[in-house]
Amino acid sequence: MTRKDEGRSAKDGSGTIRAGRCVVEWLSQLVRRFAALVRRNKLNRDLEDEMRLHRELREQQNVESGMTAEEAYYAARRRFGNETILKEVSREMWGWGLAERLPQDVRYTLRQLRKNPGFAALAIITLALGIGANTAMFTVIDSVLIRPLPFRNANRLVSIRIGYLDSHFGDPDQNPVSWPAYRELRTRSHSFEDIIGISSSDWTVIQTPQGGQKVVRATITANVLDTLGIHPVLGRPFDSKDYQSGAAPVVLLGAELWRDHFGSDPLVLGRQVRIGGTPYLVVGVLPDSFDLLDVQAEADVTSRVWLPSRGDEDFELAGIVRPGVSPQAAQAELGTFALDICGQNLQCAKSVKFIVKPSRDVMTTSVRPALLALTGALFLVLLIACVNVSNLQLARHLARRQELAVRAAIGAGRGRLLGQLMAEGAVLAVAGAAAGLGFASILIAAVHRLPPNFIPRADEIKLRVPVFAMLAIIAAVATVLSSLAPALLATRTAPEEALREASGGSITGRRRSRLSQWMVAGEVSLSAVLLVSAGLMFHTLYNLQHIHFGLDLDEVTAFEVTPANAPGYLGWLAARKSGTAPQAITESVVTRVYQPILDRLRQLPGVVDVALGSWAPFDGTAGFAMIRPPGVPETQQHGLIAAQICYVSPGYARTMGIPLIKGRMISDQDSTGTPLVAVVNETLARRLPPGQDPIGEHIAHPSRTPPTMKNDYTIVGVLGDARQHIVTQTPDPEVLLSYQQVPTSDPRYFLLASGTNYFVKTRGHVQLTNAIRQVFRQSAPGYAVDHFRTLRIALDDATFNQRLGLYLTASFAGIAILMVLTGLYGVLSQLVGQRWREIGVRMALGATNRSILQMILRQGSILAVTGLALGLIASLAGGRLLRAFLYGVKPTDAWTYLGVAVVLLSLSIGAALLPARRAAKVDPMVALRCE
Amino acid sequence: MHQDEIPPGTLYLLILKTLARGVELHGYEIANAIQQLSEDVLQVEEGSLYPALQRMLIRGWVTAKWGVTAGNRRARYYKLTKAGRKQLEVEVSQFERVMQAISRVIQTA
Repeated sequence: MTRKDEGRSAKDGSGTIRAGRCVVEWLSQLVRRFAALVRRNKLNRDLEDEMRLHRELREQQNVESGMTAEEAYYAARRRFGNETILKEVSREMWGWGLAERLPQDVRYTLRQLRKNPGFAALAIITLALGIGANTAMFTVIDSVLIRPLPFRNANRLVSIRIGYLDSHFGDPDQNPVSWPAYRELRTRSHSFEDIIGISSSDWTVIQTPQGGQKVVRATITANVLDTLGIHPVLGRPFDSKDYQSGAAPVVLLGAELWRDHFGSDPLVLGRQVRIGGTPYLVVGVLPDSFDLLDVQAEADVTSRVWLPSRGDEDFELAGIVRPGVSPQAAQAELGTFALDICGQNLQCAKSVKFIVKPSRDVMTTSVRPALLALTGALFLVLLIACVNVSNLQLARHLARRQELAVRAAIGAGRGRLLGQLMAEGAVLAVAGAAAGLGFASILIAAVHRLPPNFIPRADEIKLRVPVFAMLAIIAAVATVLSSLAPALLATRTAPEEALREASGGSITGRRRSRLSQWMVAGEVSLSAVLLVSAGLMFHTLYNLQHIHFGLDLDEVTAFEVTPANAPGYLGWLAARKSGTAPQAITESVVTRVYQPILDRLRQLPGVVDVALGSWAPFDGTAGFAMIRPPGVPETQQHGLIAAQICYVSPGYARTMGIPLIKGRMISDQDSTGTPLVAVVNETLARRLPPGQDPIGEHIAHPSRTPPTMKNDYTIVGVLGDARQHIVTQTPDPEVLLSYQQVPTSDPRYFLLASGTNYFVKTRGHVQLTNAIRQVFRQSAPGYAVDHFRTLRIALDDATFNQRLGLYLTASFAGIAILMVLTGLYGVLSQLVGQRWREIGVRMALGATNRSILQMILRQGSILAVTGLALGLIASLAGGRLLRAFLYGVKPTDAWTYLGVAVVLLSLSIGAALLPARRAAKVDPMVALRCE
Repeated sequence: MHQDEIPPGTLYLLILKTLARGVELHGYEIANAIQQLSEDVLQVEEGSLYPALQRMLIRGWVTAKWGVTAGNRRARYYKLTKAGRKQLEVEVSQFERVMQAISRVIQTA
């Protein structure tokens, strides 16, 4: 504002003038300050000149008043005060203190750290582990648990699940509802803006340019896409005509399917594709983010197709609650419609319950506790890391006590020193955070390599802005936690006291070091627990790899085959419900396709044997049924044996390497016209009436077969036990039936017609995938052929939980060990620093280097042994918690415990050795002269 | 010779008053002037003049320019500005208010 402006505004009133003046003053001050910043060096020189003049004039006057030159000099200085502080205060007047100081401190810190690369590396790595692990964890939490689902009104999106108290199949709380029930709920409920339905998902086979492909198939009600705000990435959404029954069949492809199997070809729009044998018109491609409602029919199938609902399927429901309506209120309201969705059946209405929860929470229920527990564990890691770095810092500050005292004596204020030490902490934390970010991205990459569907929303996990904000907060917290206490302690001592080297550390110092010693003992015990768990897990995994499975693991490749018109799981369920096949099938897919292909595969070079079976080992799925052994009357329910039923081809036992104990295997002659035969495993044979030869006995397979059908099987052979399904359990009773003896009118035929597993035994490792696909292209065009894996890989997949457990405990144990190393090193260095003078005295009194070395090592060993003992006791006590994860090793395995003890003790001694050797090198003359 | 520390917060007042006679003084002269005017009762911790002078420069109460002393040495001379004169009034009236209050308390006690 110019003077002229001021004059004009004077007319407006004095308030304005005053305000105007304030602004002018403030502005001109700012200008002066800025000028000062630019001419900083001149300013400092001027100040120095001026002060020197003053002192000299005073000195001169003192001399004139009769002092000696020396007296005059000191008198003038005393009268002037602490020149350094005064200069500093004057400089800071200009208000640019921090801007000047910070780069200075940072430069100084970098110099310091370069002089101590070992300390710097140790501190930065420790912090990086703590910060990185927490950053990665927060990324996962943020992406999976916190971020809203990528839908319109995601914060009001709830899943509506329906539970029946008397439900026996699957998840009792997740039952589909029929179309009429859905319509009823949708029109009558007032809690919801809208309710959407997505059919219980199923798999099917789609014909792509590369052949048949197994996909997950779901139908959606007409309001789904609008309600969730989903726009196709290509083409159009379904329109209202598409949802009318009788309209031409249309389909929306999932983006992944379109990308991987249609080469992202935009011309796919308007083309007909066959899905499950029926042609559909492709109208668009939906984004992959549209992945609601647990669409997981098959764990390894991630491609999807979406069909418009035409009102003849069952649905799983979700809804958008009206603003202000809580999920609980919506749930209560739905409860009043129980009778309606039960078709007015009172019995049913009593057992039904609605569960309304935010969709995001439902999707993530399975992982939430694990993630939160991991977060807690990792936060603990961060705390321990900070404590350790704090110990390291304190040890270093102790070593720099003299330097700090000198700085304080020549005029550094406490705040200034504190600021400098904190700047050191901040530099360490920033470096740690940078390294931690790298570590975090490695961890996140590892998370992405987990099997699909292991973590919900896994593809949304990535570093985002809030994570960086969190990282900054974590780094700041780490700085304060790791540096404030040491800095306060280091700067508290009055300079003269420290200069006089008052030795021994104050009472509080000693109390603090006792606390950090306990902390280190705690770290040792924590890593003992983790190491014991990791050891037991490792042992388990080793055992699992070397179990005698009774199977050829390495030379047998399994793969899945799905017919182009497979009825799917829902088709099978429908058939089971009605008890008959929906359509007459003249010739079994077995004789028409499966068997000729077996013969052709046998011709491939490198192939020793081929077989097929309705279930594959280690897949985690199996068909269980009740078997009626001989002597149990038809009317009796107890005495039945729960057995796995597997439909196989004659070569099955030979291909898998399962030995025949007695009798014969199923042969090609056991077909539709001949008597029904069964081959059982040893476990089942043992359950039959004792003292009789099982061969020739009759067993029945009574469940769910229509009464008109024969179900009386003659046992013709006994096979050795093969551990096939749950790897850590002993084999179940098992019955092998001939795949040719399933009539097409039997509902179980649907199982076979929906797909089968082939097993190919090769000579050594031969890559047969392409040759096999070629055979199918020629003999069974349109069939989906996938999921190739050797039984060894299938076993590895099945033991993934054990492996993940091992990786997790092993990484935690690794981190814990590093913490023990830094912790012990820090605490002992600190101890040596405090007892510097005492050690000098001891040496002056005749202690040898060796005895000093032993003294410090003893101190370290006491901590390590105490921690170890506590840790081993805790492991013994907690071992039973691990039992479910273990196989072939007791939770109290002595060798594991011994190994952990040896490893931890030797590491601890190693960590203690450095400070101990420094103590042994104390020169008594130097240490004592410091007084 | 008994000397008293100056009461806190009055250093600005003393410097302003010293310069109010319209002369230009350097730091040493200001210190001496305060001592002499107070008949040796008040003694400034001399170094603390300089941070105070810096602050007054920033506030614009004084200006400074380099000159030469009688002994032919380079010195920085401070001069009161118009803003400084106004500030002196403010400081004086403030000081008087406080002093009156304190003396009332002392007398009635």
